[in-house]
Amino acid sequence: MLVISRKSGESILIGDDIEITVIESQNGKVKLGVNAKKSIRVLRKEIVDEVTAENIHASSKNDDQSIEKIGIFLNKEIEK
Amino acid sequence: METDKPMDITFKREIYGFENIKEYTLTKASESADNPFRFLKASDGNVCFILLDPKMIDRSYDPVLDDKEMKSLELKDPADMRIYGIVVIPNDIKMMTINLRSPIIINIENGNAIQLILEDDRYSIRHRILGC
Repeated sequence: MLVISRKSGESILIGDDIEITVIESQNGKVKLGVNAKKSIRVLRKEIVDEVTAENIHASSKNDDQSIEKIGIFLNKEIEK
Repeated sequence: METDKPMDITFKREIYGFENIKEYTLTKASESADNPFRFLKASDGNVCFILLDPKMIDRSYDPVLDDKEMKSLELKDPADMRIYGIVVIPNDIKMMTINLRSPIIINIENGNAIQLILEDDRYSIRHRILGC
């Protein structure tokens, strides 16, 4: 991993399109500003990890047939 | 509805955690017209997700796609876009949740799909479907 020291107000550039600026750093917390094209989605990594865990939790090995009853129940509940 | 027929789906950006699976089939979860669930079944047969249209829960739900995501769907007509949330149904079905934070987006014209992760904190990964 490339390790770079930066002070508040200093930036790094990633490729031509991404600029990351350290806005402030206090008590072990760093505030970053990201300047990038709209076509680049910037995400906190823990969100990606959480989504991955939820996907795995949501997946099942088979298509459970009891789903019909639940679906019809839900449909009625939502219509209320 | 055109999504009622089984449809082959190819993920252009795979479901997070399932990067080895690109091919799925989207079907109705059962014959009943009153059952809003869909199944997203991996073509290898070992993985299945339950999907629901998030607009049933939140009428204002309107995730924004970036240029790259639009390109990977190869969407020619916005009317061909379908949005689904992955549902988790625990034993106590009143506690079932839908993932509004990372919807599945499908182009029903060509079967291209992606899973998005929205930056918007308002959308929960585990949104309770039936009110509290």
